[in-house]
Amino acid sequence: MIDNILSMLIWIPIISGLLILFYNNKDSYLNIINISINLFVFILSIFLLLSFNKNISDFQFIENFNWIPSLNIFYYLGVDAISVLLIVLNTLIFFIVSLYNSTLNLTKRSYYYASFLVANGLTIGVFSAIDAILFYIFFEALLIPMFLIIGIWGGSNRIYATVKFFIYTFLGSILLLISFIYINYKISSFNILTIYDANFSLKEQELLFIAMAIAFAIKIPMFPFHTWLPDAHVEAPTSGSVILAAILLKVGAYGFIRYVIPVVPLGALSFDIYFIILSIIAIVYVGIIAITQDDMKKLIAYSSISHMGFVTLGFFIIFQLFESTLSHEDIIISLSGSMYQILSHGFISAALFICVGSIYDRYKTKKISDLGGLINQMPIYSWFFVFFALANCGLPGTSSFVGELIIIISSFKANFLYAFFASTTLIVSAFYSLWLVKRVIYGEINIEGEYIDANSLEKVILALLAFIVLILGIYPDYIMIFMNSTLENMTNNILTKL
Amino acid sequence: MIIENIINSLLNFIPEIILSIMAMIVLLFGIFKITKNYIYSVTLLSVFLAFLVSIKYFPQDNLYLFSSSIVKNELTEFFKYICYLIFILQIIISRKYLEERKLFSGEFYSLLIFAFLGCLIIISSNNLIILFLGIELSSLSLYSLIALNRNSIFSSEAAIKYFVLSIIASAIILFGFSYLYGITNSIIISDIVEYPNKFQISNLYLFSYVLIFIGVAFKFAVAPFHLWLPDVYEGAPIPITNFISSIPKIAFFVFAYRLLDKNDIFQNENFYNLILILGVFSIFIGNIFALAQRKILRMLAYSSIANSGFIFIALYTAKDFNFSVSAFYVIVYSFTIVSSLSIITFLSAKKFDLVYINDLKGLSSKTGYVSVLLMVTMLSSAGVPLTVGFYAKYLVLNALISSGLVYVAVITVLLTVIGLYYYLRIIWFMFFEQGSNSLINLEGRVNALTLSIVPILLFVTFLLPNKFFEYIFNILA
Amino acid sequence: MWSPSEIKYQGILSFIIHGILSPASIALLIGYYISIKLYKEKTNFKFLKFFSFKKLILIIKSNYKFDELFLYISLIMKKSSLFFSNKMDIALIDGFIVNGIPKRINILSSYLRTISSGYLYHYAFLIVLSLVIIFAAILVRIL
Repeated sequence: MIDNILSMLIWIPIISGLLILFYNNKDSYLNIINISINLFVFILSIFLLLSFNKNISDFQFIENFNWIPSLNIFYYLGVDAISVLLIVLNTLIFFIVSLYNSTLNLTKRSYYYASFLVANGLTIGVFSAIDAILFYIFFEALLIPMFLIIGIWGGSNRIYATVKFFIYTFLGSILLLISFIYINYKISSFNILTIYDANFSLKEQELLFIAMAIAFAIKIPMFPFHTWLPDAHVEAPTSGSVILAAILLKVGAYGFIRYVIPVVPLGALSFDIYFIILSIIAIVYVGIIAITQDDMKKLIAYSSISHMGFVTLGFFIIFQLFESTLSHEDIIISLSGSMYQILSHGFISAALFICVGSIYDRYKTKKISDLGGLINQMPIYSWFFVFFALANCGLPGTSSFVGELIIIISSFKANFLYAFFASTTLIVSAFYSLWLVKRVIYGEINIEGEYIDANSLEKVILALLAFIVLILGIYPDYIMIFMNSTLENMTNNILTKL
Repeated sequence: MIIENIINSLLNFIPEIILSIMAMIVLLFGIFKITKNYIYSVTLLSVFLAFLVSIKYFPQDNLYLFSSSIVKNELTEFFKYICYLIFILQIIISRKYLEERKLFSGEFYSLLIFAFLGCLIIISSNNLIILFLGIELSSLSLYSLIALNRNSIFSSEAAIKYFVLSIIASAIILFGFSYLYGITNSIIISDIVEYPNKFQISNLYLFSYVLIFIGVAFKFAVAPFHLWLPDVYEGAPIPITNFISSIPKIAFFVFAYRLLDKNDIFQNENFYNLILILGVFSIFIGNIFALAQRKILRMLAYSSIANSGFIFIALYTAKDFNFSVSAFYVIVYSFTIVSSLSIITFLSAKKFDLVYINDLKGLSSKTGYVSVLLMVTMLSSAGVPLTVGFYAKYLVLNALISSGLVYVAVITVLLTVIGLYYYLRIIWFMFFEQGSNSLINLEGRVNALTLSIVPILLFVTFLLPNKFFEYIFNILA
Repeated sequence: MWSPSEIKYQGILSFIIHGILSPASIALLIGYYISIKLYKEKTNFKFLKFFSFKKLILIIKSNYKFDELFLYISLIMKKSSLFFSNKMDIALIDGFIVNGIPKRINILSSYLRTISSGYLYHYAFLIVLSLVIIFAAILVRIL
């Protein structure tokens, strides 16, 4: 079993998702089946986490099968510490989403569940593929279930949003395909390990870097490629937003750390200043935009972009960091800060979107100006909302504090100005989070509605997420140590190629 | 000796002979009222019989028949089998459509078989005259087939356009042939192809090849020779559109292959640049024009112009490698367009043609099954993974980059992204938009099952493509 | 090299020197003494009359003008937020580039659509024209 655990993780959700398509929509067992499949995948991924040997920096659980010999494409799977953490994040979020979905009142329920299950499997595929084309196939195929989720179950302007999402991402990823083909043309291999060893000339690296970085910058998204995200979030159904924020954005970040920086470090080196500036613009500018959004989902979407700016800052700061401190340790810390931010943002944004979704289910509005004084009507729910809003602005003790602090400290070592601008987020994010809380949770009661506090399932979901956020915030060491040897290996790889 | 040769040739030519005889018998059936009901079954059976016989007479080696006028080998048979499969599929799907429009007649099926026969002859001819006969046989049958729907003015208009413009193309091709004969003193294609290896390429040889390939470009509907295609797609009965879109393209691909394979003309800068420029221009025109279309058939026509551009680019890359990329693209594209046009045939009901894209609104709420099939087909046309269309685009890009034309690859890819929009539009009209068209036909279980063959094939071949790749790479190596 | 383990704070004397007699403790003691004198025993220190605390008190009472500063900053932030959101994100990036380019392509497409007029002689003319162009180009290159 342990030999094929990655294949099982990928194919169990996909195949069961395709089978669920034929299941009767009105059957009451559908929820239970869906939840148990997701739970099973989650347990399997925990098993993967526990049996992963964190002291080995190589890829583990390798499955290699010569899929298309004539095109040199392999079905080559394997995970290192980064992938394992992201897979666990993925399965956990999908499990939580499946719990949340069972509370919803949906049309075409079985199709909905099927799309999520397929998306689950494909995302695991993205995180565990070592062959570049295999990665690309999963990466691109992931668009289809998301396209359908937003398009079929979304809000009023869903078609515009979902088509924008699809075409924008497709535009980026097709550049990625061209870069992969070019790499294969040069070194005749799609295997990421061989690609890491390859040496490209400076000009090639720069061009490859631009093509691949645009692909992943659209996916993360970085400023100025970010405008699809608010639209997609606003129009997506709640569970779709959760997946989009917690998982899909991470695919872009994962692409940077797996396919861009280690593959073309010289290219990254020659453009790093632009990407640092774009990250800082994302942090400050997009954070400021978030302040006056009237749609709660749009606000959280902009705050997601702002937080992902930290991730890219942590990635691209490493070259200047190395120039000023000449220490491997600092690079590892910076990268692990980014990874930590990825994980933490996954949980916090998921929780916030679930909060907003619950409000929307009750009052049928996401507009801040329509809401107010929720604490009078739903005290328990409001407690969670305030907690996650505070976590979103980086309160010490919550997980996002750890990642942001590490990245700010790292950027301090690289250049004072970066640190200065990056740390303004503490003000800006506090501004939009607290102002959101003030207008929605406190103040006058604006809306006539039923008094329904969080039901037991929502309580379980939110408490689970809050617990994770707190644990990650208080005891970050486990994950830091977990990633250490992988990141060390990656750092050495990057530095030897410089 | 000569008689033996002729008998041997006739034996190996039996499938085509069966088809031509059956075409006449079907024509005869149409005259008598009693036998009219059997037309469909007889047509299907005869095509099936010809298919089986051609499998029986599978050549182990290059087989030259009728003093090298006809060649049969693994390659020609492979493409013929694909044509047979597509043709059988089209006959089955189109029956209901034809019955409802009173096109269900002996002359229709007879002409259809003749058109098909013409394509088969193009595939295996090794002689310029036989080749031209094949071209004319299929074209003449198609002119009348397009015009067969006498009640529709679109149909007659399309027939006239196709007739006049196709005649120009045939004339150009014939002009090129005559020069070739003058230069090389031979009408056997294998001799003509070897001519540049022995002597220097004269400007006249280049000139004749350019003429012939402009003719081919016309038949492929490569821009700027594409103008007839949208009108014909729109005007012809949908089963005929289905035929025109797929089988002649395969035939003309083999024609192009036969004229270019191992030919030094392909190393001539002027010639290969012409092919490349036509290809890129065609992708541009096809994708840009398709965006503004409101009629689904016109949209598919422009999309097929874009795809023909891809085929030409793939042909261009054959100058450094081999024709496997373009062959793969042609096959995948033919199956994809056959699938989408078959679905449109299926959805058209009595007194209702599925013309406008708007008619697809809310289709998924009426028939999720057919909409999923159409979605798979559209994704395959767009080249999105999980369908075999991805490999087709991938191989072309791969070949382009390996030829060192990274910038051309980027341009084509950006144009493909434009193309993605109109494929997505069909998907979102079916799945995301509200509204139901009560006229749409949903009946016919057998047809619905037949429809699913190609999309399933597109998906399965995506998962397990290796045998297919190896086979194509092998026969075209 | 300096390292914390080398300095040893051990013994009562060291505790008194480094703990109780540190500047912070002394300042605390002095402050405590002064506040007892000032508020409990209400002693009047004559030298204090030289200073005027009125302005200081006003500033302290208005919370160092912190509320005004906050309101001012938040106003700026909101204004810039609206500006960035409407003018930059929606108008410039989304309107001009992300949606603008497709719109231009669409306009181009609907304009070009009129080329395909449906008249046979237009088609024939275009075909002949492109033939002439192709042969002209090849002839120019050959000759």
